[in-house]
Amino acid sequence: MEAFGAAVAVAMSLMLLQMGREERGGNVSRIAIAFLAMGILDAFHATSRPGHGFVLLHSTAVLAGGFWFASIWLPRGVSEVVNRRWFAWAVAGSAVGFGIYTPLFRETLPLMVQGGRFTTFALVMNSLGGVLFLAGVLRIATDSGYFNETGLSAFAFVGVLLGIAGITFGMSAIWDMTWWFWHLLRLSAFVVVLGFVFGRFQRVSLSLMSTVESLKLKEEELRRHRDHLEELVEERSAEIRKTNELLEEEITERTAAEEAIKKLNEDLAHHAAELEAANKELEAFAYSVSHDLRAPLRSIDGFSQVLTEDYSKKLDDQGRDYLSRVRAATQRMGQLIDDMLQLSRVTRAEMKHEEVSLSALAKSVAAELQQTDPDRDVDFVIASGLTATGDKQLLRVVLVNLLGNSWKFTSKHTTARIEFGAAEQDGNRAFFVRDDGAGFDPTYAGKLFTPFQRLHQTTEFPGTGVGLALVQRVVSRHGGRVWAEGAVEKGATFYFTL
Amino acid sequence: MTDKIILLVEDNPDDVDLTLRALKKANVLNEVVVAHDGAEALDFFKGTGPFAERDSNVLPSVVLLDLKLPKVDGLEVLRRIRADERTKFVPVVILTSSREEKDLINGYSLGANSYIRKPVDFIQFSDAVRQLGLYWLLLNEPPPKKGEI
Repeated sequence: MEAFGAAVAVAMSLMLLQMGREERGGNVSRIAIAFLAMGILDAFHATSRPGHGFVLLHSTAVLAGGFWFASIWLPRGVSEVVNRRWFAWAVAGSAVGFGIYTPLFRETLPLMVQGGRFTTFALVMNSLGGVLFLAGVLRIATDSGYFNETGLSAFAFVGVLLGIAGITFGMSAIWDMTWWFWHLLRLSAFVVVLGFVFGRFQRVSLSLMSTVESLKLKEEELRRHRDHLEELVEERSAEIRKTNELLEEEITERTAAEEAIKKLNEDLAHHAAELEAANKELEAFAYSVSHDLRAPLRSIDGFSQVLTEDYSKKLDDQGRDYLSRVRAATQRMGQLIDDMLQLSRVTRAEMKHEEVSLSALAKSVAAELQQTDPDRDVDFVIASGLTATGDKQLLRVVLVNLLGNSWKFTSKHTTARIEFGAAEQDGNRAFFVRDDGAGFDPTYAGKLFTPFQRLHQTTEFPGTGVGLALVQRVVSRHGGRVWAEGAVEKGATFYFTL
Repeated sequence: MTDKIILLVEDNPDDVDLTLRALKKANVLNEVVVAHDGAEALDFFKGTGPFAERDSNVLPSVVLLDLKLPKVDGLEVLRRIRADERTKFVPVVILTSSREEKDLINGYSLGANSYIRKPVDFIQFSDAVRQLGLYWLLLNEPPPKKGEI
């Protein structure tokens, strides 16, 4: 029975030592030392023959256990020593040493049993051990901090059992009731300790199991994550591959587009150069037309006139009529050349962008027209405050031609009204010139703006058919549009935007 | 007045004839010297070439100058006239078919006194020539000759 208790105590102590290292206060370590010393000495006690040594080993076990149990009272600084591994070895070593020494040198030992009863020395040792146990218990019980500490409450109970066992030792004789009583108490103490150890072990193994379980779960989860990650990576890689392919395609397309643009630009530059050359040529042509075509015309006209003046007597009426027709034709050709030149000039001339008062321009043009034939009864209605951004010279050409046309095509009427204003057309502001003159057949409205195209005979209304072509060129150079409404003998309205 | 001379620089014989006729009709009886190209016009002032017999100190009262001329063009002739200290004040009237803006600008920049565009209509042309003769030979006071001051 005692051997069993000793084994439990040693096992307990080893476990507690392990616990003690994890615990800062060192209280568990001290209790462990108590059980270690007590266990080892009890083991020797259990294996030795009854006699002085036998009782001494037991008493020493009680005293050593009580001492270390009570050492809870000692200041915390002691724990640092107690916590060292070598200290436990030292205690164990000295216990083993004492256990071996006792049976070998029995004669040197103090007298423990005399006449079937324990000696005073034995009584004192056991009682002191018991009291020390109880003192340790008192410390644990009074200090709530200790009481709640891991396992200490259980040890307090063990301490009580061992303490009472120590004290009752003195009242017993070998094999009597009291002797059995305190042995029973000690056994109970060891059972409690065993229970504690078992519980502890179970808890530890449970917690280990749950740790293992949770580790497994974590691992599982990790694996799942990894698998998922692989899937994701695969998915992303596929996406990236696809994007790369698309990008490559796009790059190829872009390169092709850039190539095409480059080629277009080259073509454009080439065309621009060609245009420039053509423009230069046109300019040279226009210059020589103005110079060279007019010179022979002047000769034809001049010598026709000379004929009329110097040789009229040698010609009959028909001859003179032919000569006047020659002159009229040459003058008309001169006019055509001039108009053509103006048309080319309007197209080529550099444009200014300035604020132009169209109202003021229209008024000055109207005044000029009235001066050419002050007897005509024409009512000019010109809206005031109309302005536009553009080239004043070119915009003047527009008004000269539109108002001039109105002036011309109302000339067969005794009274006329010519209006210049602005109107809203498809959300844009359009200027207009309106008259109540001869008008035109809307069927041919499309031909109005073609150069040298006329809807009236020259004998009816003079002109070369360049005026509206000029208007259209100027308006389109200003980014605008020109169109006409009208009917025969119902007047005409010319709209233009800028 | 009749000692005043006109220098007509014109390469087109038709224009020469018509101009001379217009002047005659306008009763401008002064001597009209004709130079048929730019080089001849310069010869006139230097007294060289066809004008070697001429007294180069006699300056024209007005020069009627065409622009488009063989050899030396009208603007170059004008430039040389203005560059020469002796001839720089001679009145020069540009008489041409061209109404090109650049010709007008160049003509005036080089110091032309007037710029007339020849009309196709001979009646208008005759009238222009008549007015020119009246203005430059009668109305206009010519620059002082050397030695007269």
